[in-house]
Amino acid sequence: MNRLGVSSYSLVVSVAAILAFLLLSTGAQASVITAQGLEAPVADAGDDITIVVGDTIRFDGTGSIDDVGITNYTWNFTYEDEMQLLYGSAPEFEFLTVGTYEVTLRVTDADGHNDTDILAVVVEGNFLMKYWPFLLLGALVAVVIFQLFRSSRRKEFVSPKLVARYGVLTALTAAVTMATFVPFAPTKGYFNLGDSIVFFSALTFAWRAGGICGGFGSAAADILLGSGYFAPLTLLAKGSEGVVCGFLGRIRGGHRYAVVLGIVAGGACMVLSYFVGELLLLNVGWGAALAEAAGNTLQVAVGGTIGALLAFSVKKAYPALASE
Amino acid sequence: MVMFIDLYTEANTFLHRLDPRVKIVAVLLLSVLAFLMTNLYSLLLLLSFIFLLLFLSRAKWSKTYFALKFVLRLMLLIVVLWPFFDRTGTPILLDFGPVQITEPAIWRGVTSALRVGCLASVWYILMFTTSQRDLVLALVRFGLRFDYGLTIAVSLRFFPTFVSTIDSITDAQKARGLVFAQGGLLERSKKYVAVLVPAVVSALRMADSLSLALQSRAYGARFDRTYLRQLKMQAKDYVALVVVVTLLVLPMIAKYVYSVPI
Repeated sequence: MNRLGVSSYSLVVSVAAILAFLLLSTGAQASVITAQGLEAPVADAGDDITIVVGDTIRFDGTGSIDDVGITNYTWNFTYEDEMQLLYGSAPEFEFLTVGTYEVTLRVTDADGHNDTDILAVVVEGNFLMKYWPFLLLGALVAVVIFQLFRSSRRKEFVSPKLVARYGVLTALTAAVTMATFVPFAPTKGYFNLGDSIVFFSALTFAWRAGGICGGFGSAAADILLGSGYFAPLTLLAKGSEGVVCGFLGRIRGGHRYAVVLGIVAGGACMVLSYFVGELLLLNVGWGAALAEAAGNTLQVAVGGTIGALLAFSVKKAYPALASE
Repeated sequence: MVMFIDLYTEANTFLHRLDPRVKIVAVLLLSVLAFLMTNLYSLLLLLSFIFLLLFLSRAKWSKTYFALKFVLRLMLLIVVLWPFFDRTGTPILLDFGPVQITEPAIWRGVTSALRVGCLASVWYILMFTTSQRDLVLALVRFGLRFDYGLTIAVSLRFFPTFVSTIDSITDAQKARGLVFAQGGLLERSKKYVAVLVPAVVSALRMADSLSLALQSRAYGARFDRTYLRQLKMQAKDYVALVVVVTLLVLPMIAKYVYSVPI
């Protein structure tokens, strides 16, 4: 009984000793791992980069080293006055603003040690990319001026009939733009029927009259009403509306379908020109540009209907036109 | 509601006395400057400069408001709608799933609206201080053909005439029982056909008699015609031109040579 008791005692002790050894050895092993992880990682953000504006940059932090492995890459820089944080060993970012950016890479390993490296990103402006809407408008204006000067060498005058007609139609477009308003539409608060005179001129007197009275008449209305900054855009939008409608609307002597085609195509030119111009040139943002496009579409639909009605009924009311 | 106001206000300030060509160039250069600026504060500075000039040109506030009315609507639209379509930036103020409003987006909207305000109000300097006759003369002196200039002058001359013609036709149709303030959008617009047909016919009659008047006054007899009023650049015009060019060039140098964000 006693002998059994001793032996069971020694058994307990030896089991305890084995357990203690096992525990100790594991502990030792654990302390060895901790000793390895004491080394901090070494961050490497890669070489400095120079790109042109609008390019997407791919950062590369894979050159960073650590003995147990990096668990977190954080890229940090100020872009357009805001703190930017990117995560991952190779994140991407699109730089749309010219400037020199100091990008800080912070790598963290499994044990919370970290290291930083700084990378300079130089974003250079690409003239064409940044200013192409201006260049496009500039080119169009240059073509118009070139045409004006080319025609200015012509040694004959515009006939008095045409001077009077274009002048009067331009004035009429501007006047109708101002004097007729239909208080409706969610965006404009009101909208005008100026388009109806543009369509009328284009359908009755062909594309040149449509372009001149549409473009210059509406632009003049803009300037006289105090929205001069809109005038170049209006010149393009309403001018193209008149020219396109004058071309297409008079196919086969102004056939019904041609008139509809001309008004739809001309109206599309106007809505699109305003939309693209407001978005790219005036930078009004998607919200305002879309709201304006919706209002313009409505205006063209109503203006086109009335313009077609005018083209038919004025021919009846003023027979002198029929001889044109 | 709508009645014609000639923005030009008769006065005798230095802006009125300035050569119209200098004023046209100044408006264009200041517009370019507004496009260059991306900073909220520089745009505010430019706007206050423009309003200082307007104040100096003794612009009537009722006219300024009349002209600004159309611009204010667009500016309001930009400020309100911009943040819904621009979701970049870090301090997020509001987050409703697809709608996410951030603080920098709001400021970008305000900046863009201010730029539109600058671009609009800079024209008032020209329009408030230059008569239409001088504007056409300046364009002709810039190299526009005289007959094109005449077309512009004709349209400017007849613009107020047609506005009042349309008004009186509208009144006449109202007296015959046409009610404009009733019905839906299309119905209301269709009622204007009854105004527009007589207006167009009277305009075309006007064009016919005008062309006879032009012929009877020997229009187109000589290419080298002379003018009653001559534009001549004086010392003060050159000074103003230099000042305006400097106003554009200095910020341009700051922005593109020294990379100062303006």
